[in-house]
Amino acid sequence: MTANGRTGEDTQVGTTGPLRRTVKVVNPLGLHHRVADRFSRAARMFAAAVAVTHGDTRADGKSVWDLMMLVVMPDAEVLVEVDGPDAAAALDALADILASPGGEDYTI
Amino acid sequence: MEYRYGTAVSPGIAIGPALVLDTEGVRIPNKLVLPEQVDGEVARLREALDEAAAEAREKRQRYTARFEPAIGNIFAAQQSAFEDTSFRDRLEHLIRTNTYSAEYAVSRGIREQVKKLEEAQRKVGDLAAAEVLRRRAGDLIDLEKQILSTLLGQVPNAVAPLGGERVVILANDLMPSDTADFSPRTVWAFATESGGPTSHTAILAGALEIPAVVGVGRFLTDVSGGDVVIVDGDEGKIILDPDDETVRKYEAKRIAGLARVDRYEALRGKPSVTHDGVAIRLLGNIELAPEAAHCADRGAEGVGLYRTEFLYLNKSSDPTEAEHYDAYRAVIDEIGPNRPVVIRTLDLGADKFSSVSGLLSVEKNPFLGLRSVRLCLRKLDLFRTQMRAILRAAAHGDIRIMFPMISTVGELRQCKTLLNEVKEDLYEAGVPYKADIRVGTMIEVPSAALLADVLAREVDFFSIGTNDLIQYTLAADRNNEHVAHLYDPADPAVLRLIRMVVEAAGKAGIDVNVCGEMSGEPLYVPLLVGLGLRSLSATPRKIPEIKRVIRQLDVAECERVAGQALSMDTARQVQNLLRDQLRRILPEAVE
Repeated sequence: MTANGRTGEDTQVGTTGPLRRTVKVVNPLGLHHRVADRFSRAARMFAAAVAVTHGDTRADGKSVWDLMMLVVMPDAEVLVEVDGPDAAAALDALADILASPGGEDYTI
Repeated sequence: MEYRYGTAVSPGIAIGPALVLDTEGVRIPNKLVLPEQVDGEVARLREALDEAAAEAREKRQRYTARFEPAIGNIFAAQQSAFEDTSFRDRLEHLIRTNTYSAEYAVSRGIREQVKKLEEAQRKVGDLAAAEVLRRRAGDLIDLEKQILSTLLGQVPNAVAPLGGERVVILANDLMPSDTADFSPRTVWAFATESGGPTSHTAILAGALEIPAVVGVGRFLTDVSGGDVVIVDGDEGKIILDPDDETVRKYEAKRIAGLARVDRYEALRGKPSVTHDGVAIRLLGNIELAPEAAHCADRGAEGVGLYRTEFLYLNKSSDPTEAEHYDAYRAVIDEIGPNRPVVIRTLDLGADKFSSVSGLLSVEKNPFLGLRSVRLCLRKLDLFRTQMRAILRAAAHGDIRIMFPMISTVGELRQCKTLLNEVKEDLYEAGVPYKADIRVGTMIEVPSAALLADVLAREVDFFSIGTNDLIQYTLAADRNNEHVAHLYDPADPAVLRLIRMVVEAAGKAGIDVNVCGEMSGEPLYVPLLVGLGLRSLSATPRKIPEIKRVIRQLDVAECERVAGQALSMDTARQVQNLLRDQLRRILPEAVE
């Protein structure tokens, strides 16, 4: 795994479509309430739309509730999809939260 | 429709709307509102979520200032959930499409997710993963609790009837403080996830004569307030979401059960005397004054055990002397001045008191800790207040005082000294009281049973509290499912202790009574009579049945059975012996 939770190359639909990255959730408790909160708070700071897909369920990355409802266990992989003018910066920042073991420790 | 099975602890059938109490006693009330109230409910929901979010924000600031930010972040996450658009949309959708009340929508909306987590929990193989999911479900339940207490205006313990409707109470377990306001007028039945046959819920249900099933296991996430539930207290079943046919079937059963109770009424006027003419005194155990009337109705001679803990529970300060006095007078008013009423002084753990919480840190082993009379002897003001009220009320009826959990003769002497001091105070103040009140002690600790001959010189009567005596003798918590099998009234060790107590009382010429659950079980009645007991105290509901058994007994035969039981090695052998014997004398009393 490289920086920002990258497990492979980012993919993009065309040159203007959404950026996608598959990220492994390394938090020992998985994508739990506080990680979901930090993630959604960060997502809301970007103009880009953020979606997180786990299995066949897709969640609004700006909603803590939706993220919690994905029921993502530790070490599971999710697809983060970001679409908008600041997509590249958003993708790095958001993937980093999922890919760091202390993803719930934040002060905003 | 779903069947769940538990332990039947109080007979009868009940059908009614559910009132779900979680462990903190938050109440989830009515399910539906009228279509024209929908907008109002949505507004209430928004307001409650805003308020809950504001509280979480405030907590976050407070905790972040005092502790590390990680603690504050817990509340930050809660705040986000309360403010979350997706969450709010889901709840508002539930209200609008189903005309749910705001409370019900919150409960349903959160519980559907909890259920999802529980299903995932069942699927994952390893324990660590299951624990991760269990904690997440706990987070959600916590959110639900907070929103509901905001919606309900912070009255978590008030269990009032729902719009005047009688309810079926569903809970993980009922704490004494939850149940103090319950009455048969407001509650159809109880069903709890945990608890055993001698848990507080079971005792209270028995006392109130409300059907109850305990130890059902997890089911609260499958039901919301207002759903119709059937509780079958005869067979230990509950039925969630019953179909119409099942409701009809159980309604017929319920009515048939009421008729059966009437048959016992016929025994009321008949004396409690064995077949060969030995009188056995029957008394009732009560917790609340109105139950004294049940005792008289069922043909009990008086009250053998009046538990006074309810006076202390469910309130922010300790009861005043006037409150004690009024409660005791109420019992005399119910049962009359000439019938005995044995008042047991406070028998509670220190954890139940706001006023003594500073006295000790959390006890590791509360059942062996500062509780009951030990606590009273440390809180003399509290003890004196109760003694004064008992002595004063005794001037108006046949009230007797009894001390619980005595484990040494020194403790008993301390209690008596204090009682004498209180009498002197009353005498000097010119307040009417009963100077020659009869004083007794509970025998419920093995040391007290072993020293019964010494204790007998100090008191007018003994009362054997079998629930605790069994628990302390076998060192087994009756509510702990892993060791509950060790807790057995028929254990020969228990029987030997009971015999010692009866013999010591006989030699000293004092009365001895049994007031545990054991004396309310037809199975043990012949054994207790055979061991020499001539006085039994039980839940009023049990009295006609016990009287029926007594009237069939032959004392010599009971003594032979008791002798045999005492020589046996195991509880199982004794159980089989007793079952055979009861089958001979009263076949229909044995399953």
